[in-house]
Amino acid sequence: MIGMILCGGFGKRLKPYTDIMPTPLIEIKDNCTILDKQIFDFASAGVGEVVLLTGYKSEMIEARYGNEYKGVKISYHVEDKPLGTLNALKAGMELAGGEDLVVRNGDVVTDVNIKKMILRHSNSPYPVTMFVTRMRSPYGIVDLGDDKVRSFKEKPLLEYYINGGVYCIKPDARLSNFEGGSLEHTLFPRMAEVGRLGYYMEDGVYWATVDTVRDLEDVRKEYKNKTDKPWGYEKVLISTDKYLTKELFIRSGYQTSFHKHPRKDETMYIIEGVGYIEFHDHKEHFQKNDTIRIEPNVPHTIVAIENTILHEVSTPYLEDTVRIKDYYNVR
Amino acid sequence: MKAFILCGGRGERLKPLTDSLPKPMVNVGGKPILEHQLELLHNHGIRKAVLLVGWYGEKIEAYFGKGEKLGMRIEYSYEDPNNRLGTAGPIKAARDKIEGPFIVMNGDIISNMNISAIVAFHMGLECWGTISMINMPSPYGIIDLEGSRIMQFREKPVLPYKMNAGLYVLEPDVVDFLPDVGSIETDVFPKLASMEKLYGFDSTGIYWSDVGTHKDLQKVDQDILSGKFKL
Repeated sequence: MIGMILCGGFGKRLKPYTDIMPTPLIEIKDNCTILDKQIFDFASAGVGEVVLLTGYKSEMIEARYGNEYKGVKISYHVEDKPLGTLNALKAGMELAGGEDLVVRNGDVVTDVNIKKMILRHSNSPYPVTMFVTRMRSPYGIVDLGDDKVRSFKEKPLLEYYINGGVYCIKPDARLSNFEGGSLEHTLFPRMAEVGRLGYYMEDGVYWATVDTVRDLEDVRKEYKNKTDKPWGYEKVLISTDKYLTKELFIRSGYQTSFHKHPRKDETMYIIEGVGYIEFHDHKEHFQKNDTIRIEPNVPHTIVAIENTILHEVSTPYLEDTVRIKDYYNVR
Repeated sequence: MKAFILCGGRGERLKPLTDSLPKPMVNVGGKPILEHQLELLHNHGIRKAVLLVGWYGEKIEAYFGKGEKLGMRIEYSYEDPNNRLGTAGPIKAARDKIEGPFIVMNGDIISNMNISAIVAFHMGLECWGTISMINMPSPYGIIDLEGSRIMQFREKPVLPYKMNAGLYVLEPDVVDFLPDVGSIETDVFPKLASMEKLYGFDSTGIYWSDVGTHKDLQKVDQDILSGKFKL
């Protein structure tokens, strides 16, 4: 499986940022670009080789990532003039030499479970699998009872699915049969028409496109207190000198390192999900609304069977982790 | 009836057009957005307007004056562009200009809303406010799923959810609920709704576009040229 990222665009609606850099190099938090996050996602999913399909200001991207980034082998296909995403992908496919691809739009920031998506794709009869996710309304919605306004819903999730901007493609997709500009307007609709387009669905995970300056502001807000981990993310909700509260998101099928805290005494409150905490000699299963206390110096790992969100309330030691075992190549 | 039009916004997403011009003065189809709105009001027999201005508000007053050219009577209420009052505050600040039930409009919307019908609907009810609503135009393509595969893509369809179309008819009583600074959409309407004093009028089917971004502006411009939108 080879990763591929479409990052050749001009990013016109992200001016003035894109006057001096290509969209993928825009930072979503200090020292973390959109592309850093995307390559990290690949590494976390076990994809060790990534081709960047570049164009606009490619030299800046090459300068940052070189031949290797976070243990992921990086190569490039540079388009001198933009011929659309379908052509970029065709060129990339040739470079991949008959391997399956997992392709991403260069402007999507998401916590989707790429490992699970790849698994779904390899067990699927379709040559192309698209990540689909429920659409969040960009507008407030009016809830009516007869003619009376009952309530307002501020930007709710709707019962409609949209393209999440991640695709898995088998070599037998025969891209050479398709002509035209963008994937969205050529390959995908045609594939759907002939019944050859599968999907991987994941709801309730963070998903955003960085298409406009306003989008960028929203993503930066999300990342203000958020740190990506190979297994999901960690957000510091409250940190005082008396106590600490974090939100952890652990992707289905992932687990935190096996670790202990010399001083930190913590209680996990499960907001959502199913999984277990594994100790030296036993497991403690959890589901929504469970609470589990972990006393100092007790080694443990949190394993998510389904996507899990939990709040960790503890004594206030932010840096108090002794890792005993890591399960992923990246940190 | 008087119409109060919110014209104070900074128009961030229409820079650099709005660097020294208020958004309602941005030209679309050969005239300012606001002129389209005033003509719509005039067509529905509304001859009195209060323009709630801020950012470069004097340019609005210089253009429309007292409204003679449009056959209207126009007044102005100024907010300090450095101390913005939101969408509720400017109405409260102009409360001495309220004479009875009144219309409120967002100053960045191009539409052919049937204002007479909305007013008539409102007047027949025991309520404090009526919101004009339309079904939501999806900004994304929608995917139809069937079994394990994707059946088709629908390019930016209209969805069966109601959204606020940016025009209201309100009773003078509502003024007591307006904060000095705050949003009418999120601070005031939910309160009125919970008191069962707020109604919705379905305007679905009309031409409607907000003009918030350059892309919107381009689209509306084309729609006016092609005759898709006209009053």
